[in-house]
Amino acid sequence: MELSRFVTIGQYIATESPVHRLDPRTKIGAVTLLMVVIFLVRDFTGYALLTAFLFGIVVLSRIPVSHVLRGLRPIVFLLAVTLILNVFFSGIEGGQVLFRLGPLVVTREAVVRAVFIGYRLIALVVATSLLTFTTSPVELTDGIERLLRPFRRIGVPAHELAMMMTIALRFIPTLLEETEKIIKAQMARGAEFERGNVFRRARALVPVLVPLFVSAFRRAEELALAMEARCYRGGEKRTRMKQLRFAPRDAFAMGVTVAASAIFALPFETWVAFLR
Amino acid sequence: MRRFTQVAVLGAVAFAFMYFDFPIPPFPTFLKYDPSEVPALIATFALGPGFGVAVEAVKAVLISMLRSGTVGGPFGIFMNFLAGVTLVGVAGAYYLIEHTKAGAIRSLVFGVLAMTGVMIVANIALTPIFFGIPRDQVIALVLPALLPFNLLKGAISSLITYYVYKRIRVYLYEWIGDRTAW
Repeated sequence: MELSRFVTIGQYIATESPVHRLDPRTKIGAVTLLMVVIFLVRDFTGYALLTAFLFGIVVLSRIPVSHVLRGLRPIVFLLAVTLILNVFFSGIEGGQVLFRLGPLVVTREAVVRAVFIGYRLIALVVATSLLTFTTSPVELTDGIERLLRPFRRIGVPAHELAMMMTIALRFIPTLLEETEKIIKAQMARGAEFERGNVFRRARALVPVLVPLFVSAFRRAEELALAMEARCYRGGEKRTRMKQLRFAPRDAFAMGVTVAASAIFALPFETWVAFLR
Repeated sequence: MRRFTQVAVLGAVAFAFMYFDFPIPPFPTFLKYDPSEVPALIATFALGPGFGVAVEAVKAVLISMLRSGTVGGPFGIFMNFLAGVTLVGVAGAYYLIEHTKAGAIRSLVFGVLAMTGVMIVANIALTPIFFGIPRDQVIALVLPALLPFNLLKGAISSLITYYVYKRIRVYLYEWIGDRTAW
C-alpha cells in the first residue's frame, strides 16, 4: 500500500502552449459555456463540430491525445451502464426494430439516442479535463478568487475560500505521505485493511484516521500560529506576486468559443434558414 | 484564523480520504464507499455546521481541480457535494439543538436519512437529464440500489466518525477549547 507512489496528484501538464498562456478566468468561463452548450446540442452535426472544436483545442494545447483518452478510463464502466440502459430500456415506443433479445426490444431510435447520450458524457469529461490539463491548481485558485470577488457583497468569502484551497493543496502531499506512514506503522502492529466485510473494513480504518486527525489539527495549529506571526489578516490590501491580466488573446479565445458555441447549439437547419 | 487553517487542512484530509475507497459488495464498482465525509462530520461536530459545509466545499473544488475524471465528471462531483452538504448540514444543525452524546447519535441518524432522501430526489430529477435514462427506470432503481447504498454509505461514515471522534475529542478540547461536549 504505497499510496504516494501510485497516486498522481493533479492532472496538470506543464508545457508551453497558447492555451496554457490564457488567463485562468478566460478558461473557466469558456469551459462553463461549453458545458452548457454540450447540453443544448440537439443533432449530430452539432456534435461533429463540437468534436472538431475540442480536438482543435487539444492540438493547440500540445497535450498528447492519448493522455486525454486515458482521462476517460475511469468513466468507461459508467458509460457502458448508461449505454446498456439506454439501448434496452429507452422507453421509446415504436420505431424501427433492430433485433429482439427475449422480452427486450432494441429499436434504431434507442441506439441513436444511446450513442448521443454516451457521446455527451464523453464530451463533458473531455471539456472539463482540458481545463485541468492546461491550468495549474494555483492558477485555477487565483482565477476562482477573482471570479467570486463580485459576490463578496452577498457574503461569499472569496479570498478566504481561495486561501483555504491554497493551504489544502499544499497539505495534500504531506498528508498522503503521513497516511502511508501510519498505515505501515499499523500494519507492523498486525492491522489488516483489505480483509473482511464492509463494516470490518470501515472499523479497520479508525486506527489510521485517529492519528491522522490529530496530526492534521496539529499542523493547522502550527500554520495558524505561523500566519499570525507574519501578520496575515485576510484579503484586504494584500499584494500578489502574479497579477492576473486579461490580454488580447483572452478576448480572442472567448470570442471564438462564444461564436463556436452559437454554431453548435443551434440546429443546422436554423443556420441554413438564417443564411438564406 | 485557527478555524481557517483547520478547515483548510480538514479539506485536504477529506481529499486524501478519497483514496481509501472500496466497493460495497452488492453494488456495481462505480458506487464506491470512501470515508471522505468523515473529516467534514468531525468539523461539523467540533466547529459547527458552517465549517462542516466549508470542508465539503474545499473537498469538492479540490476534486474538480485534481481528479475530476475519476468520479464521473462534473455530475459526480456535484452529487457528492450535495450529499455531503446535506449530511453535514443536517447533522450539525441538529447537534446545535441537542448538544449531548445522545444528540450526536440522533443527529447522525437524521443526517443520514436526510442525505438518503435528497440523493433519491436528486437522482430522480437529474439522472434522466445527464444520462438519458428514463425517469421510471431511475424510480425502479430507488428501492434496490439508491436507498440501501446511501443508507449504508451514511451509516459507515457515521460509525467511523463516532469512533474517531470519541478518541480524538481530548485533543480537540486542547485545540478548539470552548465547544466540545461528548
